[in-house]
Amino acid sequence: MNFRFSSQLVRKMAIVCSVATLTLFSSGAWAQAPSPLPAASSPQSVAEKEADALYAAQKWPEALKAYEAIAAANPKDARAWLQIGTVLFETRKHAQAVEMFAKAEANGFQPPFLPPFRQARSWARAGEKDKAFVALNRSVDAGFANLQALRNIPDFAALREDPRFAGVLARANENGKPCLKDPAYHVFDFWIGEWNVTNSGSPHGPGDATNEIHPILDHCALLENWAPPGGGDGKGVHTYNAAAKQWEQFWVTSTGSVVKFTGEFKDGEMQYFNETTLPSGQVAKRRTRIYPLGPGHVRQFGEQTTDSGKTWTVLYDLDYVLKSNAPQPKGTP
Amino acid sequence: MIRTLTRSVFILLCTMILSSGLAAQQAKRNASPCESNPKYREFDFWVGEWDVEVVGAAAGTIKPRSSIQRLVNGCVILENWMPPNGNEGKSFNIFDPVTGKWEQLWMGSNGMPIHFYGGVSNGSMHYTAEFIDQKGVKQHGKMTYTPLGPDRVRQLWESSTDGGKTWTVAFDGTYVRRK
Repeated sequence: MNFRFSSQLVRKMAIVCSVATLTLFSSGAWAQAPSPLPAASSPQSVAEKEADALYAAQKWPEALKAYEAIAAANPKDARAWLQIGTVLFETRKHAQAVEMFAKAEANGFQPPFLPPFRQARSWARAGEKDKAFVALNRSVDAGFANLQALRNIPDFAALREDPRFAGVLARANENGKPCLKDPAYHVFDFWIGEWNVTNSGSPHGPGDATNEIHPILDHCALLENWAPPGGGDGKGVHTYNAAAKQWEQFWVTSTGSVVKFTGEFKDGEMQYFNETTLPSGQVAKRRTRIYPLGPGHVRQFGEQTTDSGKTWTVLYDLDYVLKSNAPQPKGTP
Repeated sequence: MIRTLTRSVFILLCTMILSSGLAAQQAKRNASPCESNPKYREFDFWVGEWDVEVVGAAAGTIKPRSSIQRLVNGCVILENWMPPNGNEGKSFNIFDPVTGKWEQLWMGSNGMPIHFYGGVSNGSMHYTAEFIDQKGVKQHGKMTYTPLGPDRVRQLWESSTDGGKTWTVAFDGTYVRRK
């Protein structure tokens, strides 16, 4: 994997790679096609290019020789060791393959989950279930996330029967969905739900409405759906930006306006800030605080200052009550 | 004289009807500025249900699906990216009348939001982005969406880590409308 890209771009490339991998493993091709080539070295030497061509043509003895020559010239070439191991694996020399994958790992092969994954396949083919699970778990520890491979590779057929496999699948799933378990993405969970909202803060602020907030993208963001009964809907996306270490809100309304906030979770509150230029030309700094008042009860308090924080005016003071807690109308059974 | 009166009444009535009709039209436009303002409609060529042919994916693989929807009275174009391996992504695309630019907030399932800014020219959407990634590396991105007839859109996303001297393809796919 090329770490020059952002993790999001890596993610998209991983999608492409997974899709490419999937092709080799769909409709019976799982057993037949050789393991996919790892990403080419950058820059790629002529020797590597030629070795890869022999590998792709499944000329095993020639490919093995070619990769061994590369490793002999540069014993730290992790990719060469991985490919030596892979040729041995494809030609059913499982124990030897495992040793070569260990060498690739020791020399820092990237991504680190691949050498133990291929060890797992080697051990599985050799009928060594326990050793296969040890290697699989090491692969998942190192970030392996490809559920399709785990579910479909014929090598793992016997392992899939084993109760230990469920744990491997669960952890691989979490690897692909980092926000599910990362506490940084869960600080705002108190706001998830369907709410009745009343505004007591300002006659010019928003009227009463319902607001519905739920997690999207495997808990990497929250989507806010603001719906006043008379129209004027809005949607907000709330995400944690791990690189900038801040929360970000992107708010759009049906009048076409876009408002952005950045902030942090502090002292039990989500505190968002932004700056905007009013029609008068004054710069207004806005602050929104969202925090729980108790179970099923949240306050969203919006203020504005035009004198750099000396004085604040209230824009809105929204009281959220969970719909399921709402008192039933008289006569409801 | 009666004819003059009738004509005046007629003119008066017509004026009243026309102006209330126009007022109603204007009220409707004010209530849904994004529906009636052509600026907000520039990216409509991407709205729809698609199968995506990703360059580099081998033949016979399951194609990622994408569902692009207009929301919030046409003010938001929401992208729902659904690859077969389940690592979904979403983007919000909006026209910001204050800056005069289109903006895309992209969120992948790894949680990193990326903001792209740009606009439509020569029928294609051109976006650029600049951000620091989780490893502290400064990234530049450029992304175009080009309609290729009514049922195909090409998305090309390139990235640079050397300030734009060299670019590599991060994503190259053609959206084919599902029938």
